[in-house]
Amino acid sequence: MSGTAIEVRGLLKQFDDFTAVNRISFSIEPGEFVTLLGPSGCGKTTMLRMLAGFIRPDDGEIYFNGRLMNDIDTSERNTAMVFQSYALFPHKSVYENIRFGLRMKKVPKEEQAKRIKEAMEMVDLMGLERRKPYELSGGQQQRVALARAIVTRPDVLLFDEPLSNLDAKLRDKVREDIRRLQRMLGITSIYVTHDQAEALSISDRIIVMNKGHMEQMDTAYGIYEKPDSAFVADFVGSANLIPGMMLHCENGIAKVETDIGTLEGSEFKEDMELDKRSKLGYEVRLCIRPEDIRACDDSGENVFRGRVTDQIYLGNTRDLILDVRGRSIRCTVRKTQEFETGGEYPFSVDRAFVHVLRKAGR
Amino acid sequence: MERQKKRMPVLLGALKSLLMAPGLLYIILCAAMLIAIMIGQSFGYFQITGDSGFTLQYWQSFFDRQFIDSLIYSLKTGILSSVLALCICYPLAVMISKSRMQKTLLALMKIPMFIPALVASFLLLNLVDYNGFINFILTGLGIVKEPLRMRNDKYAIGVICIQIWKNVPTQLIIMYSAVLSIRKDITDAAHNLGCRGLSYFIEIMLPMTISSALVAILLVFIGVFGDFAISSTAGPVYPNTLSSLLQMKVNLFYDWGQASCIGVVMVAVAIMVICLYTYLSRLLMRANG
Repeated sequence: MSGTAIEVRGLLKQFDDFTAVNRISFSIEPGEFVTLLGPSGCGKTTMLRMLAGFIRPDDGEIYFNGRLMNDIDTSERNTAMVFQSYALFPHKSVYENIRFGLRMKKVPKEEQAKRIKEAMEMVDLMGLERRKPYELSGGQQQRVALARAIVTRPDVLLFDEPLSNLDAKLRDKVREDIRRLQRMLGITSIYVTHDQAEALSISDRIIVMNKGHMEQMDTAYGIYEKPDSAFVADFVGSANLIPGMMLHCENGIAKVETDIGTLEGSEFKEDMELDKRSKLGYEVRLCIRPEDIRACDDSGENVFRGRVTDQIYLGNTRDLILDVRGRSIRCTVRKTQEFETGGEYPFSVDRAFVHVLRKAGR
Repeated sequence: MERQKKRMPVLLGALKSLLMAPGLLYIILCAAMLIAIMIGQSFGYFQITGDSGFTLQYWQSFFDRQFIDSLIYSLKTGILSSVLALCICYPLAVMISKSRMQKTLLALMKIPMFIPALVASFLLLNLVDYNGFINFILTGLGIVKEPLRMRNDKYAIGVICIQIWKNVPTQLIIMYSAVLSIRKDITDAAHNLGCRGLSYFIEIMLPMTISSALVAILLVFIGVFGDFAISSTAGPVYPNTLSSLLQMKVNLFYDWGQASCIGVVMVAVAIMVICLYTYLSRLLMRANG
């Protein structure tokens, strides 16, 4: 287990009949920034709270630096959590909030002052020491929460949807601050969010969760470009999921019969379950990202014709809703490209961007 | 049209005042006016018997030993009962808030609230009486040789015990809500940063619930300070509470003037306590935001 900051083995948590976390295992390297991503109720916050020590798992083990944590109280785990609602102590000043963890850990006073100054400089809070939380903006409050967490020099930093109460612009700024600080300090971090754009932009690796299960753990690129399941493909970004029947599969290229025509797709993961089970006639699903479909001139690979039923203006791009042999397909085009609603046009997609997925999925 | 628009808020304001009139009239007649009459009586006006006219004689002969002892006694029982009841309520509120049987426990704890003070007093006398349950246990276990005098004692132990029993539910309801109002994420953050047990109470719970604690103390203090029923049954023969003294002045000596002086002092103490509470709450509000 050396070289692993966090190891989770078969973690299980049930609330009465509801299984919030269903035997999840993963490991995280020291200094890594890992995001738990998933829809509401998928178990990501429960997972985080088990790591923090707020909830006791029903089964499975949690190791921090090789040490079993299951029976260790949250106050002794040397983790620091940044909460969605900031959770600042309303009766304490900014300085006292940041100092709180150091006092509890009985850090000498001189060391306290030095660390607080460093932390406040890092999050750009100098001059606000005497303010009370209610005198700060949302962004400032979140930075106090961040300073309060890093000042104790924890082994693990935990973030529970820390940006969800901020407006879009501020969210980007604080997100950058979090990532910059985490890189600078090299603290192993776990971040919970339901915002896929946030997860993709901030993480070294992402764990996609669904209904208490871990769907996939991979880099942001791997999650977006090579989703393991229809759920991951659909949840992270936008995807056209087209059911089909495998006709041929050789040298990493699969030929699939679908109701929009026969398409060739990449068999992207050699060790995937699909590879073992993908015999001819096996039912699969194709995942095609809207931005990978392009208008063409009836030539090339994977060509199909679609009638434009609707156009959605998105500012920098435009989404077309196509009717392809009765199936609705979404396609993203440049805003300068002209299409007539009701008109029929040829479209194509490179086979490298057609991902073959198992049909069965959670 | 424009003028009509301007008149509308004025009319609405007048209507609102009219709706408040029954409540306002009740307060003016039953509180302000009666207090004014009482103050007047203490200076010789509005006499029920004899001539009315300005005099300081009631106040001049008022501050005797008996009055001072009664005032100290009333303040002592009021402060001790309210503070001790709060000491019981804090841990109780925390325990109940963490319990799975919150509703049942709260319902059970509220029982003393619905028992009249006099009945409560007689019920509790069974506990604190010379031949009561506590003395039975203490002598039975050999802890004391002779039964302790807890009823009608000069230290008012019996009275304070009964007052605590009677007032714990009132304070518990306030403190339970206050404890529940501490957000879970704040508690989690404190625990996560290494704050547990007594330090959690001192650093987080106490500062965040202190304003509710002040309300709880205030409510119980005012009630105990003006108590008559419990002190009459379980209190000492001397000193009396101010209420008992007032009753004696009226019923035994027909001295409405001095009785009014006692009433004025009781109201003044209540107002001072409320002013102190308001001042402390403002300080706390400024500190807690």
